Formats: sequence, C-alpha cells, structure tokens
Amino acid sequence: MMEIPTNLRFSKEHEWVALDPKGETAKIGITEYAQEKLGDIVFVELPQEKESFKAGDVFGTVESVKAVSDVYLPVSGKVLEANETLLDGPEMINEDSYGEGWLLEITLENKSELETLMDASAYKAYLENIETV
Amino acid sequence: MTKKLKETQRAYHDVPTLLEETHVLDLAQSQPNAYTQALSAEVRPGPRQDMDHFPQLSEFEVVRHFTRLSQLNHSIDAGMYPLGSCTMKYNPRINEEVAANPSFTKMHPYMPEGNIQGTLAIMFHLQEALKSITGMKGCSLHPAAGAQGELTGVKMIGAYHRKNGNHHKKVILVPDSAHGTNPATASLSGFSVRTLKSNAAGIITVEEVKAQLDDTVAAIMVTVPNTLGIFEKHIKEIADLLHEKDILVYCDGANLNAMVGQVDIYKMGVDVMHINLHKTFSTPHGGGGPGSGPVVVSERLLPFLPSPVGAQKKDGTFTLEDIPDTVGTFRGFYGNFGMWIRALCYIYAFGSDKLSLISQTAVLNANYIKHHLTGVYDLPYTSNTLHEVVFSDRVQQKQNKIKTMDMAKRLMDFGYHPPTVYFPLVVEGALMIEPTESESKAELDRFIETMKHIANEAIENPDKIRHAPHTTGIKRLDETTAARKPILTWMDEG
Amino acid sequence: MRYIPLTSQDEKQMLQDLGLPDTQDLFTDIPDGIRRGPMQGLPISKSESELRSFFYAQAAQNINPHTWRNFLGAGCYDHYIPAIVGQLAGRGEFLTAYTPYQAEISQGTLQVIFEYQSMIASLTGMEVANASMYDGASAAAEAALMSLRVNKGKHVYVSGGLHPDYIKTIRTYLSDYEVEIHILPLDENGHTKITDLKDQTSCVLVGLTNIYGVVEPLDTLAKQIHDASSLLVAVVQESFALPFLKSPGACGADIVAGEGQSLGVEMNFGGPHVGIFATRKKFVRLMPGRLAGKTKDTDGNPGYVLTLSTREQHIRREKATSNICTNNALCALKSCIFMATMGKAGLMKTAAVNHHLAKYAFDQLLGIKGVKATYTGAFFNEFVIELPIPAAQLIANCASKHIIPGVPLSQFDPKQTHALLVCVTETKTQRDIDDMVEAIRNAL
Repeated sequence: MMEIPTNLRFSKEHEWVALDPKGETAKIGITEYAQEKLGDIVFVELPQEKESFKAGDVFGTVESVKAVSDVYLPVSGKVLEANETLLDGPEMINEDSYGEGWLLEITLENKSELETLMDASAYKAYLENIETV
Repeated sequence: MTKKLKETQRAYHDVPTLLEETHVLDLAQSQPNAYTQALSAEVRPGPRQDMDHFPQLSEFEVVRHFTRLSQLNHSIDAGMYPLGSCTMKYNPRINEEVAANPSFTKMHPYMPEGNIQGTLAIMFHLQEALKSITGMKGCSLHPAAGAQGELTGVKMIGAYHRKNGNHHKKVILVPDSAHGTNPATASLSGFSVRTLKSNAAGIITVEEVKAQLDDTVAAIMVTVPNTLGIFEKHIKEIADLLHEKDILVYCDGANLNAMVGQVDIYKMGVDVMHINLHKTFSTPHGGGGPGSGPVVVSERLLPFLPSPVGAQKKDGTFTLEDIPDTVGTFRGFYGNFGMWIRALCYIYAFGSDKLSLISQTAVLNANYIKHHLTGVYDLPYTSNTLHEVVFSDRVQQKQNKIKTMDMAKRLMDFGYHPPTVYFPLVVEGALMIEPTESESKAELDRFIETMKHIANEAIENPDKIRHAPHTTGIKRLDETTAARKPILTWMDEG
Repeated sequence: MRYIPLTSQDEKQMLQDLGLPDTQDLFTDIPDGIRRGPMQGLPISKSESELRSFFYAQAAQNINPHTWRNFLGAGCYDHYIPAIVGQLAGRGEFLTAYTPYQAEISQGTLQVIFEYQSMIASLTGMEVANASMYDGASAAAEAALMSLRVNKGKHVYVSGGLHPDYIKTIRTYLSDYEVEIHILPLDENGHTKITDLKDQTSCVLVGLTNIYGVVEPLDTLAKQIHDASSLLVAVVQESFALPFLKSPGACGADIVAGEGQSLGVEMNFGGPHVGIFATRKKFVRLMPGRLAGKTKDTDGNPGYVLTLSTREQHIRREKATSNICTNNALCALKSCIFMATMGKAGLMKTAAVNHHLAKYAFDQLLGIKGVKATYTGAFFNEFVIELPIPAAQLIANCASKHIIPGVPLSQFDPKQTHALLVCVTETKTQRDIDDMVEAIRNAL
C-alpha cells in the first residue's frame, strides 16, 4: 500500500486537501489511488482564477486515454491559482500526485468543512474497504 | 506471418492527369470576360502552398500503396470478429455487384421522378420489407447511421409530446446497461437521463420502472435483448404501463439479429426502433461506415417521420411523399441509397420463408460458446442469453492479475479480433462475445479452444498475455502520447 | 441457406452439447403474444440469379447514365472517378473491416484516416481535420454545435445562400438548444450580407460557394464576423472548389464543414456521401467525430491509433461532443485514393477545367434570346439562368434528346418556376455543352 501523507485530509472521491500553515488557503489534488485507477493522464480541465465553488461541486475534469473523471472540490472556496504546468505536462499527476501534481490553490470559505474530511488513517481504512469489496 | 509496417512513400513526380487532353476545351481560345475578371487574384490566388503535402504519384504507385495498407487490416472476410452488439456477419458479394451498377450509382437525387423509377422502387420496397419484418406501421430510410436513427427517434418522441402540449415531459429512462449513444442522444435532444437499475438477473423490472416514474418522464430507451444478451422479458408489461401514462417506448435495434423474423416489435409495445442496416442486414462496415439507420414506428409517431418517404401511387409508379409534420431533417437528400440496395438484396435472399434462420443460428452459436466457456471464465449473470454472452476477467485477475485488455490483445495473435471489451459497464472487466450466424461449427470450436488456451496461459505463462500481441507485425501502441501530444496530420510530423 | 454455414449435423451435435432437443428451446423467454407471424408483403427467398434479375430489372427502369447527359449539381456532383478507386476500396480488407478500435490489426484503416485528415486539412487550409462525418448538411450542423461549445453563444447566423437541406438540418440539430437562428439575406450579387450581429453571436455559417454556385467573399465576411467576436464556419457544398479558390483557412475560417462527395464518391441518389470537417488546433478537443493520430509501438515502430476518444459518446455518454459512432470510412477511403491519384496538379487542373467549361456554357446560354443570368459575379461550376418558360417544362422538352439541362429552383422554392441551376463538370465536353445549348434553344 502506498504512502499516504499524514498532513493531508481526504474526500470520498479521492481528492486531497493540504491546508496552508497560515490557515487561509489550501492546495487541492487527487490521490495516488485515483491516479492509478485512471491510468496515464492525458489532459486536465481546470477552472479560471477567481471562480467560486461550494463543497461537492465539480471544478474540473481529469482525462486518461479511456476515461474522463469529474473532480470535486472537497471544501468551499475561491480559486487563487490553477496549476497551469499540468496543461502541457498532465503526466505530473501520475508521477507526483501529492506534490507537483497539485491541481488548484484556493482561499477557503469555511475552514470548519475540513473537519468533515477523512484524515490519513481514516482514508487508509476507507481504501482497504474498497479493495476487499 | 509478420509484416513490417512501411512508411508511406511520398514521391513527387510530374505526372499527367487522368483527363484526355483532347477532351478539354481549348482554354487559350476562351475570351476573358466579366467572370474571369470577377475571379480576381483575391479569390484565385494561384498555386497553393498548403497543398504541397499532397502526393504526386503515378497510378501504379497509388495501387501499391493502398494494397499494402489493406494487407495490414483484419477483416471479417479474413477472420472472426466476436464483437458483442456489432453483429459482424458475412457481407454477401451479390449485394456489392447490384449496388455497383452505374444505373444506380450515377443517379442524381434531383432527377425527374420518371427518370429514376428503379431507384424509387428500391426505396419503397425496403421500407415495406422493414415494416413487414418488424410488424411496425411506418418507416423512414432517412438517417445516415444507427446513431442518427437514434437521434431521429428520440427527437420524434419530443415532437410528439410537444404536439400534445406536454412540454414538462423532459426525462428519459435509460437502463444502466445501455450503450453510450443512448444517454448522448437523449442529451442532444434536450432530455435529461434517469438511470434504471437492472436486477440480479440482468433485466429491468416493472417495479424498477414504477420506482423511477413521475409525470416528467417522456420515454424509456431499451435495447432488446439487452447488452448482456438477455431478453427483457418484462418489456410488454412495461410498455403497457408506460402507454397508459402517454410515455413512449424507444427500442435500440442494435441486437435485432437475435430476434429477426421471430419477434413482432410492434406487439412488444415499441413506438420507435432504429435499425442498423450494417449490423442485422449485412451492409459492410467499411472500416467504420457508411452505415444506415432507418427508423420504424408505431401509429403514434407516423406523423413525425423524416420527410420525404418513398411511396407508390395508384397507377403503380413510385414517388417521394412529403410528411407535413415531420420532425425535421438530419442530412442532405433522402438517405444512404447505396446501403438500402445492399440491405434489400440481403433481405430478398432470405425472404419471408428463411429470415428466421438468421436469429435461430445466431442464438444457437452464441449459446454453444457460452456452454463451453462457462467454468473457464467468470459468467456474472446466469440468465438465459440469446445472440451474445458476457463474461468477465474476474477469475484471471484473481489468479495472476491478468486483465480483459491483456487477453483481448493475446487473442489477436491467433487471428481473432477481440470481443467487445469493458462494455456493458454493469460488468467490471466485461468480455462481450457475439459470433453471429456466419461462423461455422468448426470456427466456433477453434475459437473455444483458443479461449481455453488463453485461460490456461493466464495460469501457466501470464507474461505471454501481458506483453501481447506478439505476431501482429506491430506491438502495443502508445495511446497516451497520442493523446497528450496529438499528431493528426502530415504537417504535424515536422 | 448459402450465407449460413451451419449443417443439420452440426446443429444436432451442438444441441446435444447444450442438452436441448430443439433450437426453439433457446427462445423460451420470448412470450407467445409477441411472436412474429407470417411476414405478409415480404416475398419468399430469391436465389442469387433471381436477385440479379430483379435488380437489373430495376436498373432498367432508370435512365441510362451512359447515354444521357445531365447538368445537375445543387449539392451532389458528377465528377470523373478513376477506375482504381472502386477496385481498391472493394478489397475485402477495407470493405469488411470493422472500426479500428484495436489498432494493432487495423493499421491499414488508421493510416488511411490519417492521410485523409492530412489532405482535407491541406485542402481547406486548416490545422486539423477529422476522419469524416456523415455528409455536408450534418457536418454543418455539427459545426454550429461545436461553435456553441467554444463560446456558449446564444445566436447562430446562417447564410440564406446555403443549400436548403443544410439550413433545415441545422435547425433540426439546434432545435433543443437555447439558441436563436437567424437567416442572412443575399445581396444583388448573390453574396451573403451581414448588416449587424447580435451580442453573444456564436457563429456565422457561410458557403465557400453557395447553392447558386456563387463564390462568397469569405475574407471580407471573416473580418466582420471576427470583429463581432464570433466564429466563421465556412460551409463547403462543392469540394472541387477547394483546390481552385482561396482556401477557407486562408480567408480566416475557424471551422470548415461540408460535403466531400465531389472528391471520389459516387452520387448514388444522394447517399452515402462524406462530410468534411476541419478546424484550428486550439479547438481540437471540442471537435466531433473520429480522429486518428500517429504514435509509436513498444518497439519504437511508427503506427496509428484512434485518439482523443474521450470526446466521444462511448466514454462521455451524456456529455459527449456528439452521439456520432462512425465516420463514413469507406467513402473517406475512396476520397483518399481519389485525391492521392489526382494529386495536387490533377486536382488543381481538373478544378480549373470545371470552371472554364462552366464559363463557356454560361456564355453560350446567355446568347439564347430570352435567357438571362440571375447573378453575374464569380461562380464555380454552376450558375442560375432565368428562362422565358417554366424550367420544369424546359426539362420535359429536353428529355427526348436525353439531356437534363439543370435543377429547377422550384425544387427548393415552388415560387421560383422559371429559374434553372445549370452545373457543368469535367465530365462534359465542349460538344456536350453545345448540344445542351442547342437543345434548350429549340425547346424554348
């Protein structure tokens, strides 16, 4: 089982949230599990700066050769920056899904929403449950 | 036998055109006039640099080039395509012969009707034949392909509800086993999709339909038999229930091969069905078209057929008849005549007395394969199946993580095109097999042996499968780079 | 039955394996109430020789294409198709192959698609073309839908000079979208006139040549359209105009959609034909239809695959760019062989011949007393003349000479009784034109 970074929080749709130490912003990405399931990623559709989303909204898509996946924003927020390097190099999501493969940086609208997300050990258990079904 | 893939050779020679020089008006003698002047340099810039990539070859070089390309293809003439829901059957050559007659190919759609009675007769006879075969009340040969037939059918349903003032009916019920075109078509026609769950037996029940019903439902889209090859045996009951609420029934005719000559589509309760002439009625796939997707309809939808349809006048002559309340036009002219004539030739070869041999044999062949591969591959549904059967890679995944895609690639080493893979979505790792009636018992036995051999390899020698194909002359292609950095023309090659 | 290899012996053996007494036992799930009874109206089976007789008898009810001389255009064109086109396309490996989803055993079909895409992109002056669509009318409609995906506009303008079937098809395809369609009038020269475009106009569809054969001023219109932040969709009705005129791409088109039948595909009473579709690279992910791309295999050898498939219905389902499952592969193959056979020189020269023959016919016809030209500007291989008698009557009068002089415009508009659309292609000689002119002169 792959390493799950302990400082992140996770959604049921396999997105991760990394809260910035200053507490106002966060980075969003998809997990190692998600990128492996998708296969080689060929294209990413990301929103524009200043776009706002509520928790659970679709903010973009991630495409592999054979499938397209909607990506959901786990917490409400406004887009500060989208990772433009992914437009030319979507493979970074496969190579470093928790690091350089980040999708968005957002300003948080409601920090308490983070509590509703899973922590690393809860996510690990969640994954184990999926695998055995 | 392996074949090396050769690069296209693009030689640039100065070659004569195919026109006889004497044939052409002496251009030097034509006087310049308002038209030459009007055709100024702005409009007629002279030699086109953007056409510099065009080949400039002698006739024989062209023949060599395309002959070699053809030899890189698998085809149904060469070997089996057990593709579920594609009905890859023999394309009879008498169809090709009658269709190639210049008396048909050189007819223009706007010729006076008296000049094209043969063409119009064929149009009329095919409409009549399709109505006869399905029991339905009306037919249009207009749609250019199955997917367009689907679009026509669903839009006709929209026209029907609008005519009755039921503008709120904007939802279509679609089973989870449906082909991707079904929800795509619903969406393109302004409907939203509500999914029906198939039960453990793989079919849709009356209860499930009732659970999803409300007064916004316009229609149901079903495939019969469904994409698992299972006959939707509750369809008549469901149709009756829906008709009571003025909800219509669309039937995707992709699997008509299982029923042709034996099932009355009209009595089944269907309001519109599209037919794929390139599936059930043997017109050639051509590497991906052209097809033809006629629609047959019940009385409810007769007024909305695409216009015009073929008709026969009282004096026996044939004509085109307009449909005043037509749903609209989906393509130019009247339809794919080139495919109508092939399909009619095929239907007439069987006639009313022999048509059911098609579905009988198709279903027998599929069940024979099912019987001999059960226990070798996982069979997710145990219900009776008709002309196709769906297995999964569950067993092989557990053994050595061998996937459906790997086994599909390995089948190519034995001269087979793989079955349909990863569809329907209700089965993970699906392998959908439809042999059709065109395969002999010997071919079926050979296929079964090959599938058993691969199942064995999955245990004894899984790497052989993982790295397949080995003998196709070209190995697995890098689809990822093709999607990340598309090279779509010669000009992209740099 | 000769198409079904199953013998009664085989059937017996197979039923034995299945443990069933009869094949009908496989159909027990089908209720009796929906069984098909005798198929009235369908004749009984025909042997192959009976099929031959039947279809030759039908053919005899059509006019003889070798002895009649027809000057018909209006979206479907009679051009010379070299013998090798039909022969090569008839090879079983092309004719009976499936869609090239399994690339390793479909390299022939895939390379043909790639070559076709390259040639169409070249001809139209665009950066990328797809594997083909059903036909010109549906391609034009798909172009409008694509334009809406690009800019989410609310208005679509359509030149009134487009073929009426194209306009009807655009209306049908857009009927369930929240979009308003406006028809643009033509000026006294037969050119599309744009006075102003509404806010949020998605695109304007204008012909390269229109239904009257008139060459449209695409680059002037392109400027107007781009100034309004909308897309220009150049609609090609007669693709033989492409090697002759300034390309739509060079004129500033954002999307080119139209009919490729003129380039190597038979008329066949209007179908199957082949839709062409091309655009700029930046829009490629919003393009409908199939695309073949070049790539490498695991050994580094070059090869071709279908690519960018995630746009298509089998993956996107409700969100697909279109529900199209096919291209018209065999027609695109014929077109590809045709274009390869003719080459750049052949295509340009033949197009020029078309033009000069049509111009000759125009001059000769205007020399007939009572015949007038509707438009006097630049045209390509077809033009409209106004007659002193109804066009339908003229056509009837010419029949005894085995000549059909043109398409009466009453085909599209019952009020246009005296107008005739005359088309001249390289299939006609000067003598043929002189005979046609003489026939018309005598028939008036």
